[in-house]
Amino acid sequence: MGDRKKMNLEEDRLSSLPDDLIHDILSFVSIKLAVKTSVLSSRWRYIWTSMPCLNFSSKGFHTLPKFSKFVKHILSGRNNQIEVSSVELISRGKVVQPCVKRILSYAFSHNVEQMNITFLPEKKIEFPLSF
Amino acid sequence: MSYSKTIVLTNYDGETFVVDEVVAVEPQTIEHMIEDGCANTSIPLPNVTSKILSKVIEHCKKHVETPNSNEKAAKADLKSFDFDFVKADQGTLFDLILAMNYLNIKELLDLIYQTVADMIKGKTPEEEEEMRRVNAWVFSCFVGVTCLYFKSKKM
Repeated sequence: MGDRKKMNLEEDRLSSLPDDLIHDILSFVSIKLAVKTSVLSSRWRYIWTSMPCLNFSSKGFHTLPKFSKFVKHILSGRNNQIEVSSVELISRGKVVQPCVKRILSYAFSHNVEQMNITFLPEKKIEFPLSF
Repeated sequence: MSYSKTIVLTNYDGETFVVDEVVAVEPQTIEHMIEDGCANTSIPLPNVTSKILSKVIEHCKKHVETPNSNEKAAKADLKSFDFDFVKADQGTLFDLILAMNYLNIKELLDLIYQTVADMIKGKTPEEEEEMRRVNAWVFSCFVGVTCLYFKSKKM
């Protein structure tokens, strides 16, 4: 227990960075992980809601409808006043049109500057060793 | 000749650093100061400590001196330099983030952001243990997750 107390007394440098720098750091991870940081402390609770950079990836979701639901929650939970600077979407498997449409219309209505969309095949494609 | 011109940087502790102009213009903030004619005497950098400033100069020097070629060896050398550069303790990393943000060195800033992001991302159990030992905020993350876990168990 003594150890824990000592550790908590250490200065938390990451949390003391200004919001925009934390956003920059979180732009290097997926939005899912960025949202996860909200459990850290009250300082982190709403940081993700004002991120200008949104990186969606269907990786880590068992089904695409689940991913779709996640996207819906993110876009409705995000601070609507903050513009979007860049959007990335990586999706594996069949395209869920309403989901992509939702992301695109949200991005365009928030003056997106940069967009990157990648669709990967459902199964890995094996190339023959020689033709 | 422009390449032999030197620029004097004065930091937070009042220490002065004399650097070649080609090196000094790597940070965009300094480049703009020189362009605007504000760099005739010395450039004050009040929010950068000498430890961090010398690290930044070291980085800029290395990147300026390495020939800008497609040569594999030069690229690999620069990559390993960058790799070692970000192997600093966390306090230094966060001081660097603030300094880079002020000096506006995009390349180096991205490198450090990536490093910190990797710290946040998934880790192996050994690395986690290490993080828990050295890093207070990640530890508070574990506390948070454990609380959630117990909450869901109670229900």
